[in-house]
Amino acid sequence: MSRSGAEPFADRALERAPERTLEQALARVAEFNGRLGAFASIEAQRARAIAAAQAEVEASAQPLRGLSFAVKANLCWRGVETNAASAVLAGYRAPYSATAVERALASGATPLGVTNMDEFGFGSSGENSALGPTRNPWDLSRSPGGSSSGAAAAVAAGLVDFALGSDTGGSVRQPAALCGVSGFKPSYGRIPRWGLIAFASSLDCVGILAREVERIERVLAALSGEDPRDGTSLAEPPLTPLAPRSLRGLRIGVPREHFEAGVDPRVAQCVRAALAHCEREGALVRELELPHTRYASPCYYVVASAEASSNLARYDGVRYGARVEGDGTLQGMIEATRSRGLGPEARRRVALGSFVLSSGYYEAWYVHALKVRRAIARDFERAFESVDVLVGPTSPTLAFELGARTEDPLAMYAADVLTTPASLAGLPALSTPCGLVREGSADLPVGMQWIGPAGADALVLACGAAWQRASEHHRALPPLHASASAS
Amino acid sequence: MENSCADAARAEAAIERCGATLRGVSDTPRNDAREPAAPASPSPASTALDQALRLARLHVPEQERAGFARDFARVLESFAQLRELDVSGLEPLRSPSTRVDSVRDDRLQPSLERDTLLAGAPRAEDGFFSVPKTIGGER
Repeated sequence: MSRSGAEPFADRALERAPERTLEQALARVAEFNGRLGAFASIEAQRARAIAAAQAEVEASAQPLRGLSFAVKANLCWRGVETNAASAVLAGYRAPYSATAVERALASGATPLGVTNMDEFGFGSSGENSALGPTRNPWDLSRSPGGSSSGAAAAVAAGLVDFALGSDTGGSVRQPAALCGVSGFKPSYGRIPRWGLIAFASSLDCVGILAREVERIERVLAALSGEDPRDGTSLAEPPLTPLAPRSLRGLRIGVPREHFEAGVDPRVAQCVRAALAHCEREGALVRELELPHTRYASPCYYVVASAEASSNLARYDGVRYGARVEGDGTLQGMIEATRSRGLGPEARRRVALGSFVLSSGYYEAWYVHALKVRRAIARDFERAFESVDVLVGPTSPTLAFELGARTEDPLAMYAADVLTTPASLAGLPALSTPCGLVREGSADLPVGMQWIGPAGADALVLACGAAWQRASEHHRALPPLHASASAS
Repeated sequence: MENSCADAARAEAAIERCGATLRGVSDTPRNDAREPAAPASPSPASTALDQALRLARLHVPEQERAGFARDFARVLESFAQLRELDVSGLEPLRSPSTRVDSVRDDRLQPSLERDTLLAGAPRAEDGFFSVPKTIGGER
């Protein structure tokens, strides 16, 4: 079954004629979404019009022709409600499309709808959504992870060929791990952020979810490349995938801290088994240390909350979305709009951010955290002097029950503990499935995270693709999957 | 209700303490006794939490305040472990972006139409965003 060596990837989805399968795909989304809550809106009419226009263009000019995709609710899509799952943006229709959406459309991919998420990206379970929770296709009583909850669930259930997400501290990788699909956070700036509703500008990355890493490579080639409208986009041309490689000779570093306290022993065991498999394929695996790992989570929450408080200041009931009149004064209107329009976690993050940036605390909290961030980035630089990539678990736990963490913000923040370090350093990082663990009556997926040096996106993806050629874990399908549908 | 008030007071005292403690942080960890003492029972009208909410332009209803203060304090306390670390000699890493100058040429270029942008506003009038009256006293 497994393809070995350097056999090229044949993406079977690309062979389908979009006009033939679009109606089936839309019917499946409609059929499944009631149980999953993965889509905030299904854009059937728009999808038909886009597919018809795409059919008029020469197929060879559309590298993603025949692929269906979904757009996370924080990526602007012109004319479509783009509310970031927040009541404060209810009814807001984007007047333009994000660069990532624009480029996906120009490449021939057809969007089926908008996916659910944690409000503005604040969460790791999909439950902080004004639209209601998304459910995990492996076990509907469990969370799919977050914040790209709907994106991961939609890909896992086979409703779309790929999904656009965003990853600020793990929001693509963690739900990908919990849903048994692949999720990639590129190097900071690789995919332009133009049209991504800002959460934390120095951390936000547009990411891609799909079952196969080789599909992510193709999509990244279409979405990457400089955009003058985003001053932080990498001044480089679109990324070309590396030639398929094997794992032979690959130097893999295993951060000891990524297997320490808080990591479910079953998750650790699964990832260690995957590393042993890599070794059998010829990889050179050795342990190393990233000594500042335990500071990554508090460092991330100081920096991300500070930036969020600044970015969310714009939701004042004047320019976007909803307004609550309050006591009728301007200040009263702004306070009432924000207090009623932002959900509990968004209010907490904005208040925390305001606190750490406020006079007297700025140096002590925010600037101190930025220096810790430098220490974390240096850990990685030192590690990459002796290894090509780092591998460890993506999420410390299996998919958890819905409602299990909503009352405890620190328990929720712990979900990001292994993904925030690469975010703080701006590094490319990928989660790929590496096994299933039986819990109760459900099989739950485990993800392994591949982290590469800054800018080495192509290498990270080539490693993930090599892993998938040497293993079968990404082929495991959840009980709720479109392949079981009659249509 | 009494318990909830006591919880709120404890949480808000913790927030004051965190603020006061961290105010003492510079480039090196401090273990000395220079931290200002936390107020024993902060006045609800002037707590650090009130200050944060005011800056964030948020209002937390009285019935939610105890829970909000408790969670806020716990998160702040978790931040305090950053204090253990000696960061002297480290430059703040504000962004992983390697671009140093991304200012574009000062040239007129196409942009979105005014009406298109105003269409997303909750209220617009005569080509402007409309807000409650701020000058002149009466609404």
